[in-house]
Amino acid sequence: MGNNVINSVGFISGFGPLIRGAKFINGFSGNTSGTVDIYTVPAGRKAFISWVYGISSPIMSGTLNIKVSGTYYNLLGANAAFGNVARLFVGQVINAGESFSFITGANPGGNLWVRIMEMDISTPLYTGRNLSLTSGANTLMTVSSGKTAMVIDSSGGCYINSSGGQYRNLSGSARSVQVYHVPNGGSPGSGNQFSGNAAVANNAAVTVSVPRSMNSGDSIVVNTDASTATQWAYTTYYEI
Amino acid sequence: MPNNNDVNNLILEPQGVYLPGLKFPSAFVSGAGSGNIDMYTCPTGKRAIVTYIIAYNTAGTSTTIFPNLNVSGTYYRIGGAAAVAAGGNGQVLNLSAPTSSLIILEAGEKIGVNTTQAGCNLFANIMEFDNTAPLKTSKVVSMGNGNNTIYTCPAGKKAVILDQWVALNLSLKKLYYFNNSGSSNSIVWYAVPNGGSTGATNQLQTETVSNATLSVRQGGGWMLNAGDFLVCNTPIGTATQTGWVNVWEL
Repeated sequence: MGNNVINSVGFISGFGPLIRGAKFINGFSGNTSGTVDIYTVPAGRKAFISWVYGISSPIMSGTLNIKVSGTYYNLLGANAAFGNVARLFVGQVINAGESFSFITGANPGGNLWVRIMEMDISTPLYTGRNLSLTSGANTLMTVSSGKTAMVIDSSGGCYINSSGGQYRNLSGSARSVQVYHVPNGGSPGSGNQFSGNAAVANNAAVTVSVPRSMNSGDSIVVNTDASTATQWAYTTYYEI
Repeated sequence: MPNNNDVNNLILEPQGVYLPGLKFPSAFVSGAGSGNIDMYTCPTGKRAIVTYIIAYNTAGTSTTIFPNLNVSGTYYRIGGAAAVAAGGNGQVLNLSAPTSSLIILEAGEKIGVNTTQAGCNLFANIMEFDNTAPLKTSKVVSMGNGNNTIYTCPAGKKAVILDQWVALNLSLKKLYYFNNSGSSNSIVWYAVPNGGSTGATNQLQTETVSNATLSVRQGGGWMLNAGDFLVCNTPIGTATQTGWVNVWEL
């Protein structure tokens, strides 16, 4: 690092950490059909996926996915339409070897652009996630020793009022979900509950509120009422 | 400029305010009582941006919360109220009308809420940084009748007023006034050039503000030169009126 600012640092919208080794990647998929791994994170890097833009006529539909160790995790639940410059916010950091993918539904042939900021893995921007929630308490992230953390919002900043986490229910039936901000050394309970019983329909992907500024050792915990494997949740945060 | 310790610093939007010594301390309060609740105290040598407070109501009764600034033990209400249903969330200081409010604390100042019922878990967005950063709130917590100078640009400096999203968008709001006087007030904002005085030629905004209501006015995208100052005129002298702006000085 040092004075070579242009080539060594960057930032995301709103407040953001300095992004080490930042590069802006155009994740483009033309004439999209079937399952397409649009972008794969190189070794030694990670990437913040912000927005996906699409255009097609007739309107193409499909799902956005994170591919981890060969498994596709559906970001949307149901198919979404990508026509007339439709856009969807993602707000996740994916890691080396993982891919951002599209699985086409109806009317293949559309064009997709994915906004990607690729960075060195030392950048303190993370997505905490649990890709296979079990019944009861599931820890999404814990603030590292000696650090504090701020969850980013749905615009990629950390000051705008909107939620900073997502829960995906593909379990086959409705689920009840709660979120907790557990202080260092504590356990989830009514004294640190952050959001109430969110009833999430099957095949729904909902945004859940999560805590914001957190101390070392604090955790975000998601509680679900079943162990059916196709539930997952994430939150994206800065740690300083 | 970034340095070798850049991982501990922060960039503010493309405009680029550098915030040294940044931390995101928790302001969590579990099962708060009723009345005025302090959530966070800004430490010595620091400032802290507070952009968001949210409550989860664990009690069986709905409650109403509003944000308070505690300066030297006196509470100043700085935002609209939110109703929090039993088992639900409510937000204040959340940058959206009617509860939008953005403020930067100085060392020793406290942020918190007033809640009508006990039993809320309280959370906030806090960005704490060294007070050497050129970002601050200039505030008059107890305004008097007539002209109140809310901010004067220091000698040798220029300043820009930050918007409600801590950025420099011309179309977003920048001038804050909370009326807790008990009656409706018609306020007038001025941007007065160095050596000048308030008048029609430097008037910015007018608004009639109901009691217990926050006024956040747009105020344009102007910059201030050294000696320029911002004035909020209020027609009454009741002390429970607070005016502030968030500034970036260079």
